[in-house]
Amino acid sequence: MHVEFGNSFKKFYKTGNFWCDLYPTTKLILCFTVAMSTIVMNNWIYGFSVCLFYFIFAFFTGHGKQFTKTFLILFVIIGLFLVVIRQVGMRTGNVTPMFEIFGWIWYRESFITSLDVSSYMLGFAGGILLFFDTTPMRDLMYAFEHMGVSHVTSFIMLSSMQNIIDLRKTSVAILESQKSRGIETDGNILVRSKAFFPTISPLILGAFSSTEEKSIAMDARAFSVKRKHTFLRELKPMSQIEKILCLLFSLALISLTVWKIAAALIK
Amino acid sequence: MAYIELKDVSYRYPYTKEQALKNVTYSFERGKFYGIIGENGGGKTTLCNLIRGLIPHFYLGRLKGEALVDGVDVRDWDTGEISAKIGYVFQNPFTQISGIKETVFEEVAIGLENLGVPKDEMIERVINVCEMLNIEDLVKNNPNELSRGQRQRVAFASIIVMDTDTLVIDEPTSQLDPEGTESVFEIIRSLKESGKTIILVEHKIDLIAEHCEEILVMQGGKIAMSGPTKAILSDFGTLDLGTMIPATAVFGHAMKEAGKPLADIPITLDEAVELVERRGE
Ligand SMILES: Nc1ncnc2c1ncn2[C@@H]1O[C@H](COP(=O)(O)OP(=O)(O)OP(=O)(O)O)[C@@H](O)[C@H]1O
Ligand SMILES: [Mg+2]
Repeated sequence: MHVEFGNSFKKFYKTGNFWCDLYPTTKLILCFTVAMSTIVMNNWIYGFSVCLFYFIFAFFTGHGKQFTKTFLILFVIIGLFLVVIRQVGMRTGNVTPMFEIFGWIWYRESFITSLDVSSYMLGFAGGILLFFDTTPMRDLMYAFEHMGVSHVTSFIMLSSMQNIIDLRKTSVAILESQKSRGIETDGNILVRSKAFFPTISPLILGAFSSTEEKSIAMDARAFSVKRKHTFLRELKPMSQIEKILCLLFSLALISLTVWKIAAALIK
Repeated sequence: MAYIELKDVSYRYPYTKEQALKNVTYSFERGKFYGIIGENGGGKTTLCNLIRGLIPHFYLGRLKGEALVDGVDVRDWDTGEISAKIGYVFQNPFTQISGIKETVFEEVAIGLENLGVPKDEMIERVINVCEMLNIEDLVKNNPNELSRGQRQRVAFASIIVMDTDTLVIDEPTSQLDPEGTESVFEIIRSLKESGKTIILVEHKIDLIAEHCEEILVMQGGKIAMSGPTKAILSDFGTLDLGTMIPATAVFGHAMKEAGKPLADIPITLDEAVELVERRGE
C-alpha cells in the first residue's frame, strides 16, 4: 500500500475537478481578470451577475460551502454598509426620491451609485476569494517556486499559514487548561480579558522558541544546500489551452479597459 | 588523520555565564560508532551542535579553540554543505516536523527534494526508509497529527533517508517503547556496518554497551572519561560521573566482592552468560 502511494507521486497531482486541476497561475489570471472586469465596468447589473456566477461556479468546483460562508458575510457587510453610507453621505446629484423612512428620503441616484460601488467591491473580492478557496497555498507556492521564488520564502509562507492553524489549536488548549484550573474564560469582556493575557504569553513565547528550533530542524533537511531542487509532488504544467485562455481573458480585460477609457474621453 | 578533531574547545551559549563545553579535546575517527553518555545538562547536546556546525552558525555565543570536521574548521564550513555531509537527528522530535507537508511520505522526502534527488530515486528511497522504520502504515497520515513515538520515527526516517556519511543522533528513542527502541538500534547498527560514522547520545546504557565501540562520558561540560566501551562501562568509577553502568557490570563487581570473581566484568547479557558458563566448567 505504501509502495502504491509512493508511486502515485510519479503522476501529476490531480483532484479530478476540471477547475481545481488547472495550473495555479491559470486560475490566478482567470480569477483576476474577471475580478478586475467588475471594477472596469462599474455597473451593478454586470457586477452582481458576476457575483452570482461565482456562487454557481464555486459549487461546481466543490468549494461551494466554503465560498458561500465567507462571501455571504462580505455581501452583507459591504453591500448594506455602502448602500446606507451613500444615502447619508452623498447628497449632490440626487433628484429622484424613491421612498421615505421617518422623514429620511432615499434617492434613486445615490442608490444606484452605491449598488455600482458595492457590486465591484464584491465582484473583486469574490474573484480573489474564489481563487484562494480553490487553490491550496502549497499549489500556489509550487507555482511561485517554479517562477524562481526561493524555497525559503515559500517555506516561510506555508509555515506561517500552518502556525496560524497551530496557534488557534494551542490557544484553545491553553484556554481549556485554564478553565480546568478554575480561571474564568466564559462570560463578559472583562472576565475574558483577564483570561486572555495569561493565555497569550505562553503562546507567544512558544511561537518564538519553536521558530528557532524549526529553522534549525529544517537546516538539517539540507534546506540551505545550494542545489537545484526536485519536487516529489508535481502539478501538471500549463497546457496550450490554458495559455490561450489566459491570453484571451487578459486581452478581453485590456480591450474593455481601453473601450471604457475611450468612451469616457469622448464624453 | 582524525575525521572530527576537537582541540581545546570551550563554548558558552549567548546570555549565559557558565560554559557549556570546557576545554574539550577529542578525535573522532571515520567509520566508528561513538556513544555519548552523561548526566542531564552535561553538554552532550552541545557537543552534537558543535560537531554539526550549528555552533557557531546558529548558536552564536563564544567559541574558543579549534573544531575541525574533515580538516576544515566548523567556522569555515558552509551550512548547506555540512548539512549534506552530517545528518542530525535532534533530541526534541516535536520541532522536527516541517509542518508544511500533508502526508508523512512527503515529509520524509523533504531532504531529498532539497538535495535535488531525481523523483524516481526519491520515491524508492523514501519507500525503503519507511519500511526500515516500520512507518509504512503512516505514509498517508498528516505529519502534524502523529503520536509522540510516531513523530520520533518520522523525524528519524527524514534524516536517514538523506544517506549522509555521518550521523549525529541525539536520544532517538526517548519516545519509543522497548520494541521500537530495539529496532532503531538495529537500524543504527546496520548504518554503521555500511561504513557510516555514528555519534549517538543515549541514556539506555544496555543498548550503548551492546552497540557502541567508543564511549564519551560528559559531565559539567567536560569529557570526564573516554575510551573503548568495555573499559568505560566495566569501570565502577563511571558511576561517580552521574551516569549508569549496565546491570551485568554491577553483577560482575558484586561477584568480585563476594569473593567469587568472574574472569572479566561483563557489560552485556551475552557476555555475562558466557562468563558464568565458563566459570561453571
Ligand atoms: N540554547 C541554549 N541556550 C543557553 N544555554 C543552553 C542552551 N542549550 C543548553 N544550554 C545549557 O548548556 C548546558 C549543557 O546543556 P546540554 O543540552 O548540552 O546538556 P545535555 O547533556 O544534552 O543534557 P540532557 O541530558 O538534558 O539532554 C546546560 O547547562 C544547559 O542549560
Ligand atoms: Mg541533550
